[in-house]
Amino acid sequence: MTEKQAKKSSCSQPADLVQELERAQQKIAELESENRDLTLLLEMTTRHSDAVTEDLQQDKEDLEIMFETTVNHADLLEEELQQKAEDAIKESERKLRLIVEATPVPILILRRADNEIIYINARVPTLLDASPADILGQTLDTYIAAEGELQLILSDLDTDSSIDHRKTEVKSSVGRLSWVDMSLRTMVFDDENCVLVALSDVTDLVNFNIAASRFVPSEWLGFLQKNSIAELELGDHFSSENMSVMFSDIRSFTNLSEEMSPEENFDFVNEYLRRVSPVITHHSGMIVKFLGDGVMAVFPEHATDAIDAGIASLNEVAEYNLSRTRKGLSAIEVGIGLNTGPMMIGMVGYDQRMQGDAFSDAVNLTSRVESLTKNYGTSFLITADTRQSLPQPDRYDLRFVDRVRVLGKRQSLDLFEVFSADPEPQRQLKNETLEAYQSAVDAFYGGDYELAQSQLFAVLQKNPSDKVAWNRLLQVTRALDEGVSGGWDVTVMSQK
Amino acid sequence: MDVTEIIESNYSISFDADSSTVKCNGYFRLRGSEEYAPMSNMLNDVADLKLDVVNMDLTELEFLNSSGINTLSKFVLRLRKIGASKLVIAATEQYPWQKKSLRNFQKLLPETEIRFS
Repeated sequence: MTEKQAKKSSCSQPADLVQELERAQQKIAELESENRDLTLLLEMTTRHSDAVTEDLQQDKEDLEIMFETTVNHADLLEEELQQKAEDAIKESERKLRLIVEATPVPILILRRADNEIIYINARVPTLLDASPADILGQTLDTYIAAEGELQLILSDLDTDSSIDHRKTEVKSSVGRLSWVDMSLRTMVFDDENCVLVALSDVTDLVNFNIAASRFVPSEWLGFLQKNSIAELELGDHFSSENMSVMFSDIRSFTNLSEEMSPEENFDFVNEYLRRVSPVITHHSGMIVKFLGDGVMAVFPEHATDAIDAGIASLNEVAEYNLSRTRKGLSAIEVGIGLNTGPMMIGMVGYDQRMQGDAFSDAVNLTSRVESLTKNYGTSFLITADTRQSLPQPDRYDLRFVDRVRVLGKRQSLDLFEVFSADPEPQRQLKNETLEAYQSAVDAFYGGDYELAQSQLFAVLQKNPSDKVAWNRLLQVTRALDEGVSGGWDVTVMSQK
Repeated sequence: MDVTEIIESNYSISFDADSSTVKCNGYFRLRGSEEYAPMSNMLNDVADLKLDVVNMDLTELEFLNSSGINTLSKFVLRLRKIGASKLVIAATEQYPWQKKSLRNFQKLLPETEIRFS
């Protein structure tokens, strides 16, 4: 405590009041100062806050600008790229069309969903005999000749996704048929699953092959293991130990032809061949060649085929004769010779020109046998070898005719007559007299000529038309008249 | 400045101090700010030079992707923030995107001048 303060506290009240007032004023001054400081501070803080807010605001605006810039730019790029992609697809389709147009082969594109043709090149209208307007919008089924074939082809395409060299027949809008070699590919075109089809017209080739098969049958090619006549070579051949060969021709054709003009001859031969040739192929035979009025055919499989063919041919001839006699023409007589044995069929000639032929001793012999039909008065002679090849000879009307030998050869062979195709009365008579006839033959070769003779008389009494029996009788008579010498019971065939 | 140019097989960016020009060529196709970092750093250095005028030659910049335009935008923004430089862009009408996208830079830095050739 100061002196002043001690004085105050112990005595005068007015002095206290003044002191308090002074103190109060001091306090006010202090508070005012503080207030000014706080105001200043508030100002500063506010200003700072505003500045920060302004900065943030600016940053926000900048970010917004940058964002917009980037996004707009991205959109721009996207649009450009989309356009480029579309252009690229268009360009590639344009190129495809260019290629398809330029290809010298009919090409079409069809929509897989409904097989509708949506695109064709300039070659297609020619193939289909229709205008583009008519073709586009049609399904391809319309132009495929075989119904349902397109479905089969397309289902194969599903497994393989590409097909080449599929041959099929196409039918144009006017019904014209062509053979095509088809190639198919799956592809996307115009945003759809499609199939590209290229068609190569091979009609000419196919037609040529068909035509060629009329000159060289496909079975012939088969035996020579070739696919087309283009592959045939001189020397190609097929051998078999056991093939049957048949020769047939019209007897006394030379006489007949003398009475006809060349044109009539020509027509006659063709008329005859037209009737008998299918019989051969129908019985699994193969016509090797035509020999004027005759045919040489081989039967590679069964001798029964050959005999059946022979019988059927003779029946056919009988029918032909009916129509001939109805027209006032003379009936024709046909002789058939049949043999079985080893033979070879092949191409003979020279490089620039060749034909099919059959070779072997057995073949040559058969020709001789055929010519003998005239001598024995029978239509159909077969050799013992053929007869032996038959599993059931009794199925046929067969009988022994003669034992023969070719001049110069040592081996003899037995000939048999097939009379199944004889006119029914004859056939019956021959069957009825078969026993007697056979015993006559046995007697002859046994040396008992008298017995043979009496048996033959019996046969001929019943069947006076039996020329074979007459021939045998002649031999028997000669034997009785002239006596015998060793080996003379074999008839000798001279070389043709 | 450390790096004054970045040259790759299908793009390049370079700074020529004599002409104060940043030249961008080719196809800017990098992925994201990570791959653009070297370029970004270079551009930052250019901005920091506080030049009076900064030229940007985009006449041979054929393609700019989104991250690329973002990188350039950041450069323009930095120029504004530093506040020392005026920006002149040489552009070309040959590349359609330039006509449409570059004007956004003017929103970031109003003193940007774009010259089309």
